[in-house]
Amino acid sequence: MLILFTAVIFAQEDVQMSAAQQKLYQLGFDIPKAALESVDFTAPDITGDEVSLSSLKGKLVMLNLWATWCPPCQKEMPSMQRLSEKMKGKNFTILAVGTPSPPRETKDKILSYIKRNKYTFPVLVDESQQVYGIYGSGSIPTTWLIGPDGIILARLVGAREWDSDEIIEIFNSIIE
Amino acid sequence: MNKIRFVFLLIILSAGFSLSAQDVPPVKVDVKTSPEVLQPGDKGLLEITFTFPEGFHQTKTPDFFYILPAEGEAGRFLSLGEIQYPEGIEEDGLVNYYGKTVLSAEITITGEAPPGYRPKIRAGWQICSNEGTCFFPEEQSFPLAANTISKEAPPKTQSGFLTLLKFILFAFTGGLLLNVMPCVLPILSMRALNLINQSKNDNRSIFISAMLYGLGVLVSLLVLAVIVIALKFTGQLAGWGFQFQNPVFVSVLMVTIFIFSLSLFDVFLINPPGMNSMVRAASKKGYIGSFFNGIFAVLLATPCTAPFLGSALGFAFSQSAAFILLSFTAIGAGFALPFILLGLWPAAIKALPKPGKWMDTFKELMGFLLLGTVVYLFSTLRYEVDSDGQLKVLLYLLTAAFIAWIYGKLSSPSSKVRTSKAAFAGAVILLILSGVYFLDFHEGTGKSTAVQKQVSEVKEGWELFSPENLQQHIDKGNAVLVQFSAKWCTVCKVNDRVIFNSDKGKIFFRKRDIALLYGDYTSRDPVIGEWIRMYGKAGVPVYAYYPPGSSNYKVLPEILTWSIIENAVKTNQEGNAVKTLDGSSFFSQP
Repeated sequence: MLILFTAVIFAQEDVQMSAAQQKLYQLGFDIPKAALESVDFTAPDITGDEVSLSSLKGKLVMLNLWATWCPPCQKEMPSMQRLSEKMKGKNFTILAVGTPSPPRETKDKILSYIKRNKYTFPVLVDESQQVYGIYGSGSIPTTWLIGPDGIILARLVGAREWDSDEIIEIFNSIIE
Repeated sequence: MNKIRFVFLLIILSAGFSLSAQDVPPVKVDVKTSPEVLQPGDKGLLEITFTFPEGFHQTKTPDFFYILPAEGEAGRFLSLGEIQYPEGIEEDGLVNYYGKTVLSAEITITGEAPPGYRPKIRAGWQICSNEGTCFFPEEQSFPLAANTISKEAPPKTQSGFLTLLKFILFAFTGGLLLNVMPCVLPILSMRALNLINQSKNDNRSIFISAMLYGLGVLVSLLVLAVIVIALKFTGQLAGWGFQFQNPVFVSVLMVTIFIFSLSLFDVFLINPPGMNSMVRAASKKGYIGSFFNGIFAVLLATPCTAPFLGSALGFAFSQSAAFILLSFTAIGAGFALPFILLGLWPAAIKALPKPGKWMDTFKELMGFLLLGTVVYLFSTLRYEVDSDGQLKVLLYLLTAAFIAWIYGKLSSPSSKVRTSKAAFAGAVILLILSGVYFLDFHEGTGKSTAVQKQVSEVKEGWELFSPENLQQHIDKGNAVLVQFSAKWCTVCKVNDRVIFNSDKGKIFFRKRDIALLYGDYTSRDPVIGEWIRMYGKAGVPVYAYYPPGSSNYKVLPEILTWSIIENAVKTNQEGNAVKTLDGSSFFSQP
């Protein structure tokens, strides 16, 4: 099975990086070598409404894995809030996914953290750890950029100032 | 399928998709208490040294950087004071720690843990790379140094004169009851033959014979006592029946009984003409047989204990050398008493059937009984040595039979005295030499196989005993029955048949949610040895019942009956839950 997969993958031509991906690459993002389709998931947001990745097709999705115990995650969140405000009305959404691991990281902790800091971008509570199981890289924050067509554009392990002009320009170029 | 493909793609694409952040760097954790030895009630300092790998740091967050007692152990075995965090480096409003960091807390030993059990503390951390990614929190349990809790908890017994007397009486009664224990039954066949042989003798000879039997019993028990004392003072005391854990001992006993059985089939004569007249006279009257009967009886009796004997030995083993000797003498006196009484009132023997031709048939029948004993011993041995070792023992038996046969040919009643003498010496030398050759069980023979067998042979419905397992069941609020037994323990097997393997037994314990823990003492096991002593016993079987969620156990007698089991379970139940289940409102079978 693995051999077959390897053969299929290596038979594929390396996908040429798009202009946006090249810029992201220069900013330190990882870019998939071959086309990598995203995997769908469904998780509740902080109000309890189920949100699935597939329902966001047509939008650039910034999937961010974070935790309340992660200082770098906390550090980048204000910039995510500003980014979401700057991108308001565009085909762009943030999905910030918190993964409860009781007793120390709980759903309540995640909810009160978001409330306390008045963040308004969508936050999912991944109690089943489904999202983390698919998109977890072992450390956080990890952010995935999923294009409007559902293809993964880039991944970043580590924190960033998300509302910089460079990033906003790249995001705009993707959704236009 | 889509998900699987995605994961495959991720793995394959990893070269171009830097996944270096995946590996969680190891954090080294060292646990130390000062002072190193803490007794219940003592206070000390617990220090946990975390060594964070280069390029990573830990942030001061009490929820994710901590030390705590293991779950269920706080307040029970130990308690911790407030955690003392060292000064760290302030960065972006956070306090971070790099490299070696020591968390400390005052530790109080609040209770005595069972022997062999090491209370644990939990240490939690959650590191971040200096580049700005964080790893998920980790937690590990670390057992405290073995000597943190007082390591031995033998029952504190008062050693007043009355107590000593009580245990001497126990030893005597135990010795007496040993005569009817299943382990001694095979040897009684030899004793029966010996008695019938004696019935044609005069009263004086019968008396001497009985005394010699008693002497054989006493001498072998005193030899055992000396070994026990020696082992006790070298710290290797194992327990009653410990010699059955030695495959060489079991093999030698097998060969000895085997050769003896061959003599009953007249492969060779046990009273050759080579002996001088006095010995010949003695053997004619069965004196030698009586003495060796005594020794054999003791050797075969040791694998299992009898009522009273377990408690007596358990107590004796914790006392002085003189008391151990006294206890063993009392056991010997009790064990030999029935035959000494027969010696004093020989009329009882005279009532036995007169010697005659039937005796040859009887003798041969006894020979089969002894062969059965050899098979029984082999069934024990197979748990102590691997198949190579077992083959060696069988070859040794074959060689011994051959030597005995040759000796029988060379030393018939018509043989010359010199030939007989030479044949006897040659046979003994050959037996010893072949024994040295065959009974060389190489290092590692048996033990590992034996352990594997124990694990695989824990019967259905039983779990393997370990102090941790017992503690877990108690923590969960389960009732527990602990059994320590051994393959060579006949009483254990009888109890298995009557209680645990019976139809009633199969339902009884399951219905009451009593966890059954089995510890095997066939081969030497220091942890089980320590627990046997903790229960105040010296050998197997040991049965201890723990009521639901309680660590206050009750040690049950060596020979189990259903009323003992039912009473133990009933009287130890607190509350009515099980009483209701026991009530007649249920169509309960047991």
